Amino acid sequence: MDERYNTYRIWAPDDALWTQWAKPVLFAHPPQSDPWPITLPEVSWAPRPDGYTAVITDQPGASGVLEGLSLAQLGYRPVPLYNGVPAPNNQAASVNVSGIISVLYNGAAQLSDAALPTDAPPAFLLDANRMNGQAKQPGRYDNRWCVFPQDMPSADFMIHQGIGQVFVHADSIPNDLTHILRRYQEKGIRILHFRDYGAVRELEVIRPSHFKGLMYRFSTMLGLTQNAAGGFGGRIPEPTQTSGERFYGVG
Amino acid sequence: MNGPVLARIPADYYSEYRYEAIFRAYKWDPQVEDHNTVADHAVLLDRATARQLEEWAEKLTDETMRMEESIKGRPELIKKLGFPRAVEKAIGRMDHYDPAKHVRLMRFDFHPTTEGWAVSEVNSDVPGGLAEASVLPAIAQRCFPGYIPHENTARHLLEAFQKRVEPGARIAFVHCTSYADDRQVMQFLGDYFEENGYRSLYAAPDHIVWEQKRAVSLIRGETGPVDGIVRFFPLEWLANLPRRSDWGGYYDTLTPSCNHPISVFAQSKRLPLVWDSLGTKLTAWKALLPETCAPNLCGPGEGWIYKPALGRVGEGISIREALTAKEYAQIQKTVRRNPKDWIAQKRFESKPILSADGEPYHLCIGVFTVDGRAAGFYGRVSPYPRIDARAKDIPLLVEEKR
Repeated sequence: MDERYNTYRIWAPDDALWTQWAKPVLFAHPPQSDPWPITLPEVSWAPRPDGYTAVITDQPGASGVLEGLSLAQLGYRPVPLYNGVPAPNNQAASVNVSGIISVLYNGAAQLSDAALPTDAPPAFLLDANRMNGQAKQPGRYDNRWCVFPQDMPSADFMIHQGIGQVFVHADSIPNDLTHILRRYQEKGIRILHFRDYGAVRELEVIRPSHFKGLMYRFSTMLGLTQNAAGGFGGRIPEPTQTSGERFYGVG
Repeated sequence: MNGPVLARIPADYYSEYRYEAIFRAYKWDPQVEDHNTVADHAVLLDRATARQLEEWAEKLTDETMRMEESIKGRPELIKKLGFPRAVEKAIGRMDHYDPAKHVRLMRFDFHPTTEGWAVSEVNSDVPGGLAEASVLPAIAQRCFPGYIPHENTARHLLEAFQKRVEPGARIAFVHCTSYADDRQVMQFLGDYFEENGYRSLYAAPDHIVWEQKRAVSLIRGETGPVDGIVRFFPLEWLANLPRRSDWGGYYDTLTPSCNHPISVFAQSKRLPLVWDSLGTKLTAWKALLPETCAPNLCGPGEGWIYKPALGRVGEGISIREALTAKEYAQIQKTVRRNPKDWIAQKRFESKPILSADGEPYHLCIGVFTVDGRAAGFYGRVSPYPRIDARAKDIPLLVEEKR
């Protein structure tokens, strides 16, 4: 097999507990640029891996992958959940994912060196830019995306593996993530939220609209067609939340 | 005829098989919540059963295409199919539809039941599973001597385009660009078409505009005429696009399309409600599809299920044991509120197939047809009697000719 297969295999080894959720899509598109040296960020905010805490890092672009690699040094298993496709044939795209791809490939050797145990607790990686970007410009490839509950482990699975607390590192909690965190919270998992330059706070996740709705995913998909076809947009504004304030985002 | 048999992919090969499925078969959604969607079994099929399924699919295709011809000028029947008003309006643009100019792709879903094989539906508009049907059997083949991959659906589609579009021409693969699940289907076909001499263009539906009924690309750096369209964006979603996108152009385009929107009629699960008004002989459909009626005439209750008129991937089907009590109640309530968007259908008793270690699996074999000819098998298995997004994709191999 080729480079794609080998790189994905490092991020998603078949014998590790959490890696079956790793999304392959960006691995299927090797980077166009030459490798460049990686500098890992400091992650002193993260709790020590105790088997009881899972991390979700929702950071923009490549910084999330870099953070995942730093968390691997601590003993977390980074699980890339990036599910936005790159623009084909160098078309202009709403969300630039080339930096993420680049670090996934360039950082694979470092991750391999971390020699994580198969049951290392998970650090799920999301791109905070996934719903940003310009979509309405004609001719632009709209690759914005959402994370859905079926993209992550269920609360029951988390609890069964001993996870009782989820630590979210994000500037704000977007609506799509709320649908997942609320499910966790309802089953008794504690949600902690950390923003840069802030304190860690316990989060009471507000029940989002269409929560557990039979057609939530379907209606979200329909909602995204309201803008330039295939793009998410502000059809259903609803409150998103942080631990300290509320403001409006898109759903 | 022995019928389908489940055989386990050897445990020491399964990991490689799954990685290969991800990259060679473009299976970019190998996990849905806690469910691995790549089966660790294969379906082995005897030649007689394979041929039988193909013959049925070809007959069903023929009858479906006759129904399409018959219904397209009859608004009083079209009104009964549960389409959004905008779709009904656009259907009026299909008067000059010529089947010879377009590629017709369908997938019929067959299930083994306690009373033989039954068809649950035709995926008439944008059937998925193309990469899985075309590539998974080739990956699994090495584990099962005496069994071989059958038809390659992608090759049939390519050949259908080759009859209508010159080599080197540009084919637009139209999809919901925000969804990796959709892009994986398009990327598979696009790569395959490029390997075989076409130029592939990945487009959202509103990247295509129309000049004298011919498709033209608006994509920056890729503007200009488009010579063929493969659409993986459901017709009823097109109706949600802004009017300025002129999505109605898909309905009367002269650019060879797969599928042309003529596919919309059979996509409605309510089509059986007007069968008797069509004046066409529907022997295969009547033999294979369970009894179907309007929700106010039959159901609810034991032995009946509800299906949304325009449902996809098993969503919204009221199979009690596959749903939570809340989900089941939600469906009942929605049906009561909007009965014209639903059908009631007699439930068939899916007959599970036992694996070698005694685990029961419910099987669905999707049989593709391209331009009326059988074009490949798409297998899925599920531990409960509903095939939905959590079902596992399973390769299907057919007994080798001796």
